[in-house]
Amino acid sequence: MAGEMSGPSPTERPVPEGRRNSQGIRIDPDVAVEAQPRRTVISAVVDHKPGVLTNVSGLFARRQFNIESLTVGPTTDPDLARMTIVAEEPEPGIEQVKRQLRKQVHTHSVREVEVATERELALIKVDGTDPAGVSAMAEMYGGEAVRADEEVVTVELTGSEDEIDAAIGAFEQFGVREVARTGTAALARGARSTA
Amino acid sequence: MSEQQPRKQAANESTDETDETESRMSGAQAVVAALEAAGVTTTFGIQGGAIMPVFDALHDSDIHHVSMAHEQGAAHAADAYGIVSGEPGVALATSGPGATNLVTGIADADMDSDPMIALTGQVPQDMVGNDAFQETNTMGVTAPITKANYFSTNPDTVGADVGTAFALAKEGRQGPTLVDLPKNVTQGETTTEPAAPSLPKSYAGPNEEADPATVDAAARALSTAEKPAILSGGGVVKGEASEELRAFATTYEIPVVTTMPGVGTFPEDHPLAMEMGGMHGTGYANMALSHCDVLLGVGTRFDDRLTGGIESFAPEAEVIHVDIDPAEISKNVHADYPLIGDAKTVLGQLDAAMPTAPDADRWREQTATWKEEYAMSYDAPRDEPVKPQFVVEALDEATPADTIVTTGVGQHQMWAVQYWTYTEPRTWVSSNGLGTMGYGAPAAVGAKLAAPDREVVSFEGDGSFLMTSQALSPAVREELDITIAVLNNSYVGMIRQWQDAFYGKRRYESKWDWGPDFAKLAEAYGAQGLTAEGYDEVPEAIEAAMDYDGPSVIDFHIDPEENVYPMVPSGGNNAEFALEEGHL
Repeated sequence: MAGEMSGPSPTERPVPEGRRNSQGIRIDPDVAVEAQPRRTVISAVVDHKPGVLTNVSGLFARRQFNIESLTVGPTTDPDLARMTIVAEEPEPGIEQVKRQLRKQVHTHSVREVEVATERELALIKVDGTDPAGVSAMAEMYGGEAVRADEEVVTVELTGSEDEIDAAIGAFEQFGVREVARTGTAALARGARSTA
Repeated sequence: MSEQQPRKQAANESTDETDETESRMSGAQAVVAALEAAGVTTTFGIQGGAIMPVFDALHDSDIHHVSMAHEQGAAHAADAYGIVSGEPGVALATSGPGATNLVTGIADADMDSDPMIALTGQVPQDMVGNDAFQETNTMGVTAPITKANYFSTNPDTVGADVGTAFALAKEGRQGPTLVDLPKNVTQGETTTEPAAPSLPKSYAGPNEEADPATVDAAARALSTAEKPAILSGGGVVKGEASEELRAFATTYEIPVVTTMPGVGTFPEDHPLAMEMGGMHGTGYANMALSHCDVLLGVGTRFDDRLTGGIESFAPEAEVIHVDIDPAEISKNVHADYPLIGDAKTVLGQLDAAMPTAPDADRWREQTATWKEEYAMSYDAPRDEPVKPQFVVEALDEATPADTIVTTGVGQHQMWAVQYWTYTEPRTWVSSNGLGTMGYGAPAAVGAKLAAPDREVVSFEGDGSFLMTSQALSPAVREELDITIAVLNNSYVGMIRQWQDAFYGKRRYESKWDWGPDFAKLAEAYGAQGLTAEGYDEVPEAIEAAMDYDGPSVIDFHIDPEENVYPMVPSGGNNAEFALEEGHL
């Protein structure tokens, strides 16, 4: 049924010329660029209680925030835990997730750790045909072979994400059977507190 | 738990000062005491095994518990109670199905930032995780739709859990909270009397004042604007800032658009009122939004039903965004001037910082012209079926200005927002964000109990009312003088309208001509049932409903083919709103 509303039709109206991009920022349509994703490390201090991890991972899932790793562990205060989140997102998404995370009632503080000491621990189980070679390789990457069993040697390594990636690549020559990685833990450099 | 010490001493004055006679209570009594300490006078809900201890404790309380006929209704009633009163509404339900039936209402409150607290029974702790009878992981289910939820583990702390949940629901950006109450906790004993509600240590309290430098910059931008506009949202209602917003808009003569939850924050009969913007907003509101050069958004999350496609939303405007929730800043629309703080306080700051009023005579003339050009209108030939818009206007005329309107969701909701003239905050009680069909009837129960001296009119569609019409039972029992106006077109009308417009007129499962006779249904519940067919019967039916002391249902048989316009299709450009189907 035709409406009985008065007024000029859409094509007879003045139309504004401006545009916004998909992030709601006003742009010059001719030179618009969308923000590119970048890697970030976010540290959060949260209540050390059941359900908090579920809440945080649920928050990331429903806000469609892609995380590379998430680690949780106790802090010097037994009531608090530290979460370290590594993610790759465009700028507005990073800001948004920090605010959403801070908003959770169980969150005490959140900070993006820009200049950080980052470490990850990895256990790598490789074929044991050349235990001496594996041991030498482990030492080269600052780790050690911590266990030799029938057929396999287990190596322990700590380092940055990239260093661990490189090490795992190097161990491929012996045959990597299994890898377990903790994900990145990070603290801000210097006296400045992390979060 | 040091706060309760003085209270405990006071309670013990008349008894021996020994532990043996120290007042012992059950965890359930602590729950009820916490509600009383929070000032709760009314609760909504339904009995059930796991929540029985709490109901047993309510037996001894002055709290008026309103048994609803369905937990969804209890949640909506509590939600509406929260909107109308400004205090968190309380919904009680048992574990399992009781809790899951609350879920829709909790999600609704979450989307609209309505203050509400849900208390759910749970199986005893030693059975949790065993898939016990009526066990559901209520914490897991409700985590994404609550501001915070708590699993009580101890009779000593259960009262404090309830107090904290209550305080959080009300503080800052409001929203629903939940406390899950295992039966062993509510049946256990405690000597800890709950204190007044308190916030958890980790909670980041809201900013009151916005950053002064940004306020100054925003004020400069607004005062030098040639085409300023205000977008007033639900945060203005929740922040009790309607008066300040009105003063600000009229002092600086800035046209005001409202969001749907913001309806009533600025009087719609004022010359500066552009009324509601967005998908079914007025043409003039959408013209103002599309052409303004500075937009002051207050307490709004720039929902997609308001903005349409983000690319074309207020595309020439610098945005000043006032919000109490930092996470809303630049979430959907980039804020050039982010002002994080309380709406009332920040409007005061802006007012103090405004160097001059903007020089915007031409813009105001333009917006006035748009109001004439795109005036809301409809044809109502007397020999044809009644137009729903006519019914809305007739009920508006028959009731006082402070009448509370509740609605379901669909076409009737849009006519109710478009053709009723809202002049006061907290008079528009609707499911804005979640779009829950069936919200209106139970919401009317909650609204009337929150404001017994005011008229309550609930607009419902025939489809919407069918979902929760059992709310009539508590309305009859509680002798609530409310009017439910069913705008009955025998369709789920908005679906029919979209099928016509976007699905090649392939009408499928949208004709609902199999519904009940709503007047008879009302009579069956013990309410007054009325039917209005044709224009002559509209005033009579309204008069009969107004004269009746108790709930009335008027089944208005409206034009089944009437559609809601203006309309911006989903993701479309607000400036290109359609006035008829041919424009889509």
